Amino acid sequence: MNWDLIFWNALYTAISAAAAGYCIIASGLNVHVGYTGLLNFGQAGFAAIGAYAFAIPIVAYGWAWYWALPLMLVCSVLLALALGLPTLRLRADYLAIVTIAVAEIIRLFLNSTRFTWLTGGTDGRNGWTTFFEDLNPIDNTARFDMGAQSIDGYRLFMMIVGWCLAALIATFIWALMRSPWGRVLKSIREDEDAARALGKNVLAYKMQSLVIGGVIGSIGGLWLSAQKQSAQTGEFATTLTFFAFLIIVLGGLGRVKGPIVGTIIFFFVIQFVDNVLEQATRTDNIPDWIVDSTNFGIVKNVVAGLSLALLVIFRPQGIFGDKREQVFDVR
Amino acid sequence: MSADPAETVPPAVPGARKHDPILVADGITRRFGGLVAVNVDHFEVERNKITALIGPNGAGKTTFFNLLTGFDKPDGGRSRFDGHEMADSSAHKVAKLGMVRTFQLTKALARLTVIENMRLGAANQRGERLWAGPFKFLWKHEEAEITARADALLERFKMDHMRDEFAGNLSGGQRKLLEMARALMTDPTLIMLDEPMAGVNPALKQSLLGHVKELKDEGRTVLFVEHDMDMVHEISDWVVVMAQGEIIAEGTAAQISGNQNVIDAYLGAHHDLDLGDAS
Amino acid sequence: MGTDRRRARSVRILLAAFVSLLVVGAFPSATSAQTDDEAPQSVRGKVQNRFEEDGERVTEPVPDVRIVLEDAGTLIGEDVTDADGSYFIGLEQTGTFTVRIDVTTLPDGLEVAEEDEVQDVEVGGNQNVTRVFFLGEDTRNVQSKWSLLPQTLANGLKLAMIIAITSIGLSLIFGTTGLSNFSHGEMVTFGAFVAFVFNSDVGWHLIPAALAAVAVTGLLGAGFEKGLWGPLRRRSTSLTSMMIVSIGIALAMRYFFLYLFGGDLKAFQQYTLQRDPVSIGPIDLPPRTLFIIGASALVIVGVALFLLRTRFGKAIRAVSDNPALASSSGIDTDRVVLLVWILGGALAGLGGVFYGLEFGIKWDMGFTLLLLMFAAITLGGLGNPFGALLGSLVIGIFVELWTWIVPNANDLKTVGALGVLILVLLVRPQGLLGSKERIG
Repeated sequence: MNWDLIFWNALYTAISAAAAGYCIIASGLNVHVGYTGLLNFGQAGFAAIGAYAFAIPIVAYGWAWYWALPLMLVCSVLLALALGLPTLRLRADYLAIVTIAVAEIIRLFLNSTRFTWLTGGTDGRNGWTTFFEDLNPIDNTARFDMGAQSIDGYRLFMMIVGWCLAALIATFIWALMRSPWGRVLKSIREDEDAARALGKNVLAYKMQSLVIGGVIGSIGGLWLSAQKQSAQTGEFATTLTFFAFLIIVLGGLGRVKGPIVGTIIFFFVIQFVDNVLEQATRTDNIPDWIVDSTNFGIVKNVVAGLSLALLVIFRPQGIFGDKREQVFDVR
Repeated sequence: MSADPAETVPPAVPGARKHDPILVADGITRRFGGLVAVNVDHFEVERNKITALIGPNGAGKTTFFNLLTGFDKPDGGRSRFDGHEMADSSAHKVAKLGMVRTFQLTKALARLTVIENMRLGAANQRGERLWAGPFKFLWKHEEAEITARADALLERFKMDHMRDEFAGNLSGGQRKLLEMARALMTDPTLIMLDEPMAGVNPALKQSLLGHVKELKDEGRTVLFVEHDMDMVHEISDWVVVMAQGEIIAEGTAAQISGNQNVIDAYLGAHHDLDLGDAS
Repeated sequence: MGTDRRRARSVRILLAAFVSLLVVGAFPSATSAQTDDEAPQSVRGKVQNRFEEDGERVTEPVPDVRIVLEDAGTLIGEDVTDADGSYFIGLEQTGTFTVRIDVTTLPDGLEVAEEDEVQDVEVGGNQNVTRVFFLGEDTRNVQSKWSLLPQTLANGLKLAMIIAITSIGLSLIFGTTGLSNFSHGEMVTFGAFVAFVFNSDVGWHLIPAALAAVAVTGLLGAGFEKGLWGPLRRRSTSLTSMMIVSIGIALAMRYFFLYLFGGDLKAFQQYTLQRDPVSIGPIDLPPRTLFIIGASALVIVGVALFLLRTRFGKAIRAVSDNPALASSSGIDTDRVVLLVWILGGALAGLGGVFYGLEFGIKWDMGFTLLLLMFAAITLGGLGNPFGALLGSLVIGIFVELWTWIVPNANDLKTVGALGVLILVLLVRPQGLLGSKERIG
């Protein structure tokens, strides 16, 4: 086994432009779940809107990116309103059920053959990232080495910009959450009746939180597709939401650094497992009845699901968190 | 408005008219399925007085509280607070008008520090607006004022040493104090305390009593639900008794403790509550 | 009952659940060796001859016809129909292709309408797309929209019944424990696969295999309660945390099924191909579908009687209404909840077998069904088992009706139902049969 490559590739994946996209999506989810206590199980829907509401007007209608971006933001806000209006007055389960349902509706529409003319179907939408490519000052043909892993100029550029964007969003969230506005969100997370009794319009704050986190999720989805140079429907399945959950639980719910720490750990571990299994199946170090070349890629999803359940049960404060600060009650 | 002292003592009958009511409720009803939980014909709370609301378990006191404060919607009836019509007002609007409540089971915000709990109480903060949030210079001064006020209140409630603790680490009695102090941060005209003495140890009880009396001295009105009859006797100016969702008696503590209706209500409910001495 | 005996019993239940899990886990290795076709995607279907005989429509398979799959004119796969008239073309790639029937291989006297000779097909990851070729008289377009309505409603009723038996458990679990169990769909999938393993790998007839699946899924429910949710409740874990845990479990189980059984659609050995539908007026249903509707109705009536008449059933409803009151009036809440999990699991298993019979068995079938189940119980009123029944009826019929209203919208089937859910929440958040107090 080539442990050198396994390690460096996992490390690269953990800090790649795609990971930055996940980090941003998870940051938005953290605003919902970690700070406000809103159980949004449909972050993938926001991410999908981010990618497609940006890509479609550019590819299909020839818009400039500076018109597509506000359109995308408006769509994202509308989605948040559509999710919030029927559910935010009700108990937490309703938001969870409706968000997961709406994310699925969005995915079905994107996959539907009826809308292939709009969404590009399973081919996805391509050719809308030229202005990113034009921005790239790094020579695209050059190779850059990261240990045993080598990447091209565009990847390096997108990686740097992606993490700058993630850092910018983290700073924005930090500035919001240290403010009295953030304090109200946290009080809603703790006990919304208490906040109400003190004269806070809980519904309005929840809605604002849903919008802010959703828009951040859309930006993350846009980035996820931009770094891939293609908007792909497969990217926005429900697993995306649950990976984002795992990321914020790993890094610590309701912490500014949570999504960043969580993303790096998550992608490193997942890619490491994937790489090991891939090499093991290729070199026949592992019996086929355990995993073979067709199903080793599935193992990471099983691992992710189990980790999410186990973390919430045993370390709800995250890997490095302080027990007192855990967001969910586990007494 | 200087009143004749004789006029200020209302008759000891259910639904008695008060000289200067701050809160008036009419025909408030609430049903759960077939059960009538609250059915109050007329109810008034006198301004700048301490009014106790007592009654056996299940009398509908807390439900009535919830209805008055917008935490539950009545099936019928209307109420007026300080000249404002309260029909269908949501809880946060009620609080903004100056009618602030606490809860029977304390709602200390466990993973906020004591001082953050206090700051949250302050009303109309500019920093609580989304657009102002990220820009600290917009709310820095306001926050400093709020903090000063919060610190003063914490000192008054002798909780300044807990200032930076998580509220979740406080004892039950301390949480009651914190909740009352936090409610005061909103600067309410009417403060409604739902069983402020429940689960509080005797040492703290005395200081809590003192704090409630201070509220009156500050010009606020207090309405509280309580089972502890000693407290009712000691601090209340007026006592309202509920049983089976209705107001069955009103009067001063002394008048109430001799009232046959009240005794029947408690005994009828198999409640072995010590009604205390009218000393 | 002494605690020792109770403990011994629960250990046995756990052990049994564990053993059955092992049994289920051990077989698929054999499966993957047997199945020769491991292509992740496929295009499959049938060539059928349709004609009228004595005023009855007859559908007849046409064997030995060559079917080719092309990508912009390039041949990428082909197959010849077997005795069933079926063909199967495995695919490594995804994308949009054309399936063409080779008209030269058609038996004499049979023709295919020119516009039906070539069909477009879009194949996504892990998808198995079906394209059927009809020869002879095409009766499909002859039928008016209205004449299709009874059949649509019958299909809706079938789906509604399956949703109903699976969602009772989800609703009861929510009612008694407050948990929105997002892994309930995977219990359905689990039931279907257990039956599949007993049926295809062990070689049992489907009926005993289905009964075994019901029992094993019931045990899985008991195992979940004893090994996971019960202990979590005793630790006073918040419902929010438990919901996230259930999501994690669902994710792990779903992909574990994919890992064990692969991504293709599977079918049971018996009853899958029933060529002689029973006609009831304008409705044609295969005997198995009639059986499923009837059996589900019986099960539902049985569960309803159980809830209304028996001591245990009343205890369940008491715990749903007010757990604290129920437990202070001497009801052993933990036992009631365990029973609910066993019942809910068993019903989910049965629903999985029925769903598998009708729509095929697939690793993510439970997730699709989960959303419909949630829509149904939310519509009916969270925590009210009779509301769940009513909601299931509405949702099941609406899913099919949607395809009737909007033509060619098969891949958007569930959209309408989920849309209804959102509308209901806006107008009547407590659901059709819910009480207002529950939503606060």
